[in-house]
Amino acid sequence: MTTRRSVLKMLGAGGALAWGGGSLVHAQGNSVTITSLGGKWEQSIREHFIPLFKKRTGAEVRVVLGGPSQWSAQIEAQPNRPPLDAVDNSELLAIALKNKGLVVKLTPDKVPNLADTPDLFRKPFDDYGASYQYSTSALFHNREKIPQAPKTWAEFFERTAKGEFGRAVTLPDISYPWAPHIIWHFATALGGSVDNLDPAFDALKKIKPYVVKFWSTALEVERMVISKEVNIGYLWDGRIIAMMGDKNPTLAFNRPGPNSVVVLTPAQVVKGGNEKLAFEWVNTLLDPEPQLQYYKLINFTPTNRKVVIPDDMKATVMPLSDGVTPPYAELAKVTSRIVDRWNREIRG
Amino acid sequence: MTRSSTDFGQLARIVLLLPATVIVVVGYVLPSLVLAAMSFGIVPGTWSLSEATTSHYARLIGDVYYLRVVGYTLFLGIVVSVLTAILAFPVGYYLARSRSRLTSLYAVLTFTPLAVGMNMVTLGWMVILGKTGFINALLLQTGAIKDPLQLLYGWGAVIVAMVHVVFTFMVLPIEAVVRQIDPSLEKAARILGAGPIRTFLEVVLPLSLPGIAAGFLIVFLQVCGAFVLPLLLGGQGFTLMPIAIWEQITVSFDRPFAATLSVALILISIVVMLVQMRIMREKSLV
Repeated sequence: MTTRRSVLKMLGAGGALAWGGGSLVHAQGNSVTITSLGGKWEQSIREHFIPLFKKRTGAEVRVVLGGPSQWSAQIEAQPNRPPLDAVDNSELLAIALKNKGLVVKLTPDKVPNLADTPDLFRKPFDDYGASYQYSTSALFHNREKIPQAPKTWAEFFERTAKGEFGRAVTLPDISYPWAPHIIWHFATALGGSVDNLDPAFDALKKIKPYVVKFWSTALEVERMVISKEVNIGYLWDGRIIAMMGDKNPTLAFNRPGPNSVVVLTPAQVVKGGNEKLAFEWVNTLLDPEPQLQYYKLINFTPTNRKVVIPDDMKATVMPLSDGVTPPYAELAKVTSRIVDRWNREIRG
Repeated sequence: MTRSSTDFGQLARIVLLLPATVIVVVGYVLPSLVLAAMSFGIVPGTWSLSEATTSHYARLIGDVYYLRVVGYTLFLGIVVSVLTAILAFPVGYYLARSRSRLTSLYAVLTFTPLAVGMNMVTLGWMVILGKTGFINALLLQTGAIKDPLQLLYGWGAVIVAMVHVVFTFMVLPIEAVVRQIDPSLEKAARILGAGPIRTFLEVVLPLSLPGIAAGFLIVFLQVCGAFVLPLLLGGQGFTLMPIAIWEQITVSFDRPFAATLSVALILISIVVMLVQMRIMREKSLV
């Protein structure tokens, strides 16, 4: 007969088993647990970086797919036994992990390739992370429909608001993790700052009727371009270059002035994980040889100074002097307000 | 029966049910408790009650935007559930009653959304409803329109695709219940002079209600929890609770408020489930 006592005994047994059952998988010994985005990113990690790492260390590599917010949450959930040894992070989350003491400082003796990585890719994180690639903001456009692309961001917003491009524009949505960076960039390009984002929101409100969709993933943009839903829009240079060519012969891109926002992927070593191998892994990510192969596949620019970009690909690389990065600490403080403001003024 | 055999039986029951219990406790109960704690601002790890606050709930209830998000989520759930019930009933009835050799084929076709999965169905509808998609191509070819229509990125696209995805979940319980209805009841009604519509309304439909209600609940809960489909097919001003939760985690990094939205979504689901159980229990008592 099933009684209340028997049910409680069962739940208690189940709870005890669950509690004592251990936590997420923890890398041990001669293996390292690293992270990767899916698709081509995973392909490059497996084909270009892991073989070199294995050749140097003989260690096994376990790849955890997902995204920065998921990985950061996993690290924060188990700080004493982190389930990841190295993480590819977003800028704001990289700084958050550093501030919480959950990642370890990279030094040239442990990560020799750090010496060939410019300060722009390390110093925002105080060397608690180093970016192995960067992408820059750009506008793609259909050159048949729009023969003359906007030369500045101000011109883009002005012409869009006049309806010159029709209802065929796409921009990132606030649900896109780098949306705060982009809104900051729009604001500064239009005369504002991190403390005065009004120019960005005013411009977005004016062009809203002409936006087919504010996208949340780059996949949506690619779909919109293929199905001719849009004629002009915002995307990262590497993604646009990957779409160009025979697949989309009318697609072109440019980087409107005064500058482009540079987005980084800081690789970090997690404190309390297999730090020795994780340092080696980050060093491999910063190595010029696999970075060049990565660039040929993904079209996001490598950061190691020693990478020699092939001549036929040099034209699409943006000089770093044309790029800007947000003041991450200040941006992190206003991000919640940006989300709220978007919900009220753009979605409302 | 002796006391020792009763104890043994009880022990056997506990052991056999333990694996499922562990899964429920680990996969649902514990995470729900952690989520609830986070929604009150308690940080997992420290578990300090002094940090507890109801400010996140106050924010949810006091902010018109988030109340609208809750409203949109419930609205979509109800609309899709009702539409799916209307479209699925004839299919479920046919599958239950038909003796045709093609019934198996139709059953397989009904199962395809389940087999393909929400993500693939979403991508498929993006292709069909796009400006160069099937529908626009057909309308342009026939001269019905001169320029392609904007069919994507709005309520219409989300509702159509959502009905497609959850269709099987409505057909199955309806079919199961209709099979249990004695066909002679319908025959009796017809013999006694009721037309087909009256027979359906006064005999078939009331007896099918448990199946419809079960399907309604499953579909409603699925729709309220849908993320990928509304994200990709929805337009501006179309935020549902799962998307709002995603934004709080990945953009605002506000996990406590994300937990609050999650708890609210779970509570809505539980309330709907309890209401449905109550209604069906009252019906069975009548």
